[in-house]
This record gives sequence, structure tokens and C-alpha cells, in this order.
Amino acid sequence: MAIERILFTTKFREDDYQTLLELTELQKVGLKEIILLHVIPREEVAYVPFGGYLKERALELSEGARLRLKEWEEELQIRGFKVKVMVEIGEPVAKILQVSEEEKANLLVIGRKRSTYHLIPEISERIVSRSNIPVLVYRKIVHFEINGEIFQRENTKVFTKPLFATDFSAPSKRAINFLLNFKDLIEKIFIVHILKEGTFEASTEEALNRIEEEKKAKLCQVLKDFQAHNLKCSIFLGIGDPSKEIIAYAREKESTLIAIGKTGKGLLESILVGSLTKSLLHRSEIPLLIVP
Amino acid sequence: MALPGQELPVFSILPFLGMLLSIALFPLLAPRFWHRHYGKISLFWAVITAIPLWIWFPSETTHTLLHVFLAEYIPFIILLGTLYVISGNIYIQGSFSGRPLFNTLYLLIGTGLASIMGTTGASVVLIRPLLRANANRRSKTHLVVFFIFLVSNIGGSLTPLGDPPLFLGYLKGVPFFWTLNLFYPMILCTASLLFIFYLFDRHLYSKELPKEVVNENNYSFTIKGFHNIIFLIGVPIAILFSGNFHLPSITFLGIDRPLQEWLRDIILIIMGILSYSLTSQDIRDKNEFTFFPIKEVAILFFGIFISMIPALSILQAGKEGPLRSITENLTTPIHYFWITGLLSAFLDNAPTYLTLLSSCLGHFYTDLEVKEALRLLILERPNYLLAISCGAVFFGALTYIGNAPNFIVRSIAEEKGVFMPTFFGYLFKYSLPLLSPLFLLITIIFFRV
Repeated sequence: MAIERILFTTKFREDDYQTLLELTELQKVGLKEIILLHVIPREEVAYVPFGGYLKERALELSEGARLRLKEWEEELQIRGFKVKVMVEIGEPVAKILQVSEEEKANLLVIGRKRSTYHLIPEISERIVSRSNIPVLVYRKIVHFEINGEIFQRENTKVFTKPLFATDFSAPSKRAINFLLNFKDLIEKIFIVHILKEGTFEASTEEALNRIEEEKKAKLCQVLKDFQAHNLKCSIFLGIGDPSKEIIAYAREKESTLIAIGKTGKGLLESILVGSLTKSLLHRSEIPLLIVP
Repeated sequence: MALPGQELPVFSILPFLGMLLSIALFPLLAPRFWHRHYGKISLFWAVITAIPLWIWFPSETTHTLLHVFLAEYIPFIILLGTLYVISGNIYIQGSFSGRPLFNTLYLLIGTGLASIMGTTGASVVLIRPLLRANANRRSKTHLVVFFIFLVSNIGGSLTPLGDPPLFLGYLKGVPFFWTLNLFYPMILCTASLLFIFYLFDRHLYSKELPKEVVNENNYSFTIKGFHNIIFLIGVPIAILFSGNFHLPSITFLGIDRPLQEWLRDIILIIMGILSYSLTSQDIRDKNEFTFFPIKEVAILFFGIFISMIPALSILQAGKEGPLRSITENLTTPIHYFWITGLLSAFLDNAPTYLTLLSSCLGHFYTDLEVKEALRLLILERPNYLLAISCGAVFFGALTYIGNAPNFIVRSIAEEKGVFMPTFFGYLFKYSLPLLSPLFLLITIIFFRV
């Protein structure tokens, strides 16, 4: 599936425009059309208690958003993109998913809330968990915290050094295929598998070695898949908390993107143990690509 | 340990008036300010009600506040919330065509469902399919207006689930099935309004070109989230259970409540959670479901429940209270019907119902406990309760602010591009000309002495 059409959602955060411009590099891999979407949460203009609907406020907000997006549209058109501007009123998650489906976008790009602890707001989590198309969670400027210290990171050229975290599942295989869309932008790809502590039984060193060998063999197979497309790759097998290990490794290797396949979990399991996707959404300052 | 209403000064009801006037005037005069700050305003009136009461009667106030909160406010919000969630998980799909007969039947069915789903739930679920069915019609305002009359108000009169005032009455001790006594006035209103609606809609329809009303969507009729019907049936069963089984009381924070009432509330919460978790998010998305309206109702009613405490206590004191001149002059069901009604039209109908009910009990049964007084009222003077109930439910349709679902329906309709009249436009063009003759007829038939 080529990346010909992306849906870029904006809440007009200070770096949204810069984030959008960063994505124009996707032109090199076939991007032709960008849909710009701003959703005005229904609660801002509707359900005034015992009042009704704030028609004038809705018009003001819609028109304000449209004017800003028109300016972005002009810049993108100069760069050779076809652009569609959409301003909608509704429940943001539902509306974004509805538009992504109706417009047949190949990639959905959503931002993330600037925060010192929870880097991801609940809304992004809900979009990621329900989207049927790949989602790129990306902001150019991100503030994050390590051991109580606040850092700022500038995410540029996000597709140059992706880290691909695999669990060898079907969604992971789909993620490989999707990542290959960006091969002309990728300089090196880090293929990672983390053995989750406490989830495998290895009472002896010999048993552990056997598991390691088995996983490394699988990693090598993934490596070959990428190398077949002339991509420079390396593999890493780790043990520990998957999201922490993935982020630590990505930081160490100055990776520009973390890509994963979305594994569906039941409601109960998701509540009790969480999911890797959710955990990465909360912890990672590095852009995330989640492929369903 | 109730508050002594006979000792409370008249000015202690000022915060209640402030609360009700805020609901009536802010949405008209400063809607943006109100939209942003209604929570703070509600809390403000609650606080300035409670502080003086605490200073005058510390222990009685604490007890009353806890009682109102635990035994009235929480169950009230749980019921509204549960019905709202369950209703929001049901989606009606079909290639409906907005022809007069269909619209009339739809309103009739909606009116019937309102007593089961609650007016809020029925309004939220049913307004969007009606608007979709009539998407190609030029004239839609009248559809929404009659929908507000029938589904958002009058239809909710047959059970305590239907309309908030009736549930508050149930919490005070009105038997669950007593509200079926409203059947005849309700049928009179419904039949008359549907007849007028059909003629009016047919007239407007005939002026539109046939091609404009054809609905091109080709969906078969489906109710998605059908399993939620089980929960809708479960709600009245839970309420009936709490009214008919007598288990020992449990004391929590000094407030005695029968175990069956706690169980009822827990069952309702569980049904709401199950309904939400067993239903696909896609259905809620199609219904454009959001918790926001019910959150608004919860916040506003917190202020209403607290600020109406002095007014209810004074009115319950009847002839011994400082408002004896008012309570003594309310002597016939006609008085109660029209006073409850007119106040319900411009203030919210739930607190108005309780206020007038308290006044009536205070007038006839000053020295009795509320439940005992209610029992006697139903036995000896049922027409008074009928008048208060009809007034509260029917007159809620008279203005946009009479009942919470009115504003939700208006908001949804306006968002969908339907032109809705202003507050006074609705009042003078639609509700007064159509409803006031009906209310006069009800007075003559049911409440004439």
C-alpha cells in the first residue's frame, strides 16, 4: 500500500505547522495528497445547559480554523501537494476515524499533548486503539522527563532511523510491509525483540540460551526481509519491560521513530496488564508508528 | 432530624430563586458565559444556601444535606445516567422517508417510549433518526417542536422513569404505578397534538416537491445494540424491586436507607456499565453519544438539590411556616395544576414539582412525615397529586428551559442545520398557541371542582 494520501489532524498547537512541513518529505515516497482536519469538540459549542447550540461561536471557531488551514494549504500546494481542508464539529475521536475512513487515507497523523509525564492524552490512545489504518503519533517538539529532569526533543526526519519492535505476530508482519513504503527515506533500521521478564520459563542457563537462539533466528528472518530491499539493518534481543527496553534502546541508537504492529488485546487484559502500544504512547518522546 | 421549616426565614429561599433564575436567564442573556461557568454558578448557589443553614442549625443541616445527597440526589443521577447510557447504546437505522404519516407514527411511538426510556434517553436516541428521515424536507422546525412537546415532555408522564419530577415523587413515596393515573390527560394531549401535527405536516409536505422528500439511503430497518432492550426492561424491574421488597436499613454517614434502595442503585450502575461495555463504540459514534449532557445535568442538579432545601422545608411547614400566605391560598387542584405548570415552564420542572408537592403536603398534613402525608394525599385527595404531576410534566414543554431534554434536542437540531425559533419565538409561535388550549381543556375535564 503506497502512502499517497495522509490525514493530518491538528488542534493548532504551536508546532503543528512545523510538524506538517516535516511530513512533506513523504513526497519522495509517493505522497500526493494531504487532508488537513481540525475537529471542534462538540461540547465547545453545543449542549449549552438549558440553552442549546452556540451558532455564532461555532461559526467563529469554524471560520478561524478554516482561515488558518487555508494558509497551510497554500504552502502545501506550492510544494506540489493536492490539499483538502476540513473543519468539523463533533466528538474528536469518532470524527477523526470517520474522516480517515471516508477519505480512504493511507496514514493518519495525530499529535500528542505536551506534558512532563503523560506524553499522550487519552484521546490519542483511543484513536490508536480503534483506527483501521496506520497511525503516526508525531509532534516535532516534545518535552519529556527522565529522572525528574525535563528535556526537549526535536523530532526531525522521522523516517531515517526507525526502530522496528516486533513480536513476530501477524500485525508485526504487516508493519514490515508498511515500513517498506518508506524505504527510500530509511538510512538504517533497528529490529528489536524484547523478551518480557517473567513470561518465559528458563530455569537453567541452557534453557535461556535455547530461547535466545530461537528468538534470534526469528529476528534474523525479519532482518532478511528488510535486507532483501537493500536496507541497512541491525538486530537486538533484550530482556525486561518491553516498552522501557524499546525506548531505552531507541534513545541509545538515536532512533527517529518506533514502529510496531498493533496487537489487539481483550478489554480485561488491557486493563489488567496494559498493552505495549499504550505503554509506548505514555512513555515515548520518539514518534510512534502503529500499524493495525 | 429535619430542618425546622417554621423557624427558617423567608430570605433563606433566595439562593434557590437565584439558582432557578440563573437557569432561566443566563442561557438567554449570556449563553457563552453560562456555558463556561455554569458549574461554578451552580456551586455558588449551593454554598450560599448551605453556609447560613449550618450556622443556624448545624446538626440538622448536616443531616439534611447528607440525606438529600445520599437518598435523593445520587439515586436521581444514577437513574438518569443509566437510562441515558442505555439509550445511547441503541441505534435505529432505516431508510425512513419523512412523510406525514411516518412522522406522526414516529412521534406516537416516541411518546410511548419516553415513559420507558426516560424523556432524556428517548430524546437523544430518537431525534437523530427523525432528522435523518426528514433530511430532504424543507420544513423541519415543526418536527422538532412537536418532538419536544411529545417525546421530551408529555410522553414521560406514565412512569417515574419518564420524567425527573415523577422519579423525585417516587423517591418521596409516590407508588411506582400511581403515575398511570396520568394516562387520560396524557392521551388527551397526545392525540390532540398528533392530530394537529399530522394536518400541519401534511400541509407543509404538499407544498414541497415530491422529489425533495425521497430518502435515497437504502438501509433496512435495524435496531443496533438491541441487547440493550434487556437493560431498558431491567431498569423498571430494579425500581419496582426497591419499592416492593422491604429489607433492613443500612446506616451510612448517619443516614438510614433501606438495603433495597442501595441494591437498586448498585444494580442500575452495573446495568449502565454492562450496557456500555457490551456495546460497540461504533453504535455510540453513530448516535454521537457523549457524556457531556448528563454531566451538565448532574452539575446543575447538585446546585438545585442543595439550594431548594430551605424552600422545601418552609413549604412543608405549611400553616406554621413563613410562607403560610401562599400555601393557604393554594386550595384547589386547579391552583396546583396551573401554579406547578407555569413555574415548571420557566423554571426546571423537577424542583418545581417537589416544591409544590411540599406545599400541598404542608397545607393538608402539616404535622405528618412526608411518606405518611403522601399516603394520605393519594388516599384522600389524589387529584391534587394528579394536578401537580400533570402541571410539572406537561408544562415542561412550554419553553426551552422547562425540561432538560428540550435543550438537548434543540442543540442537536441546530447542529444539524435545522432552524429553531428563539426562546420567545418558540413560546409565542408554537407552545402557547398549541399547548395552552389543551391545558385549559385538561383543567376543565380533570380538575374542575
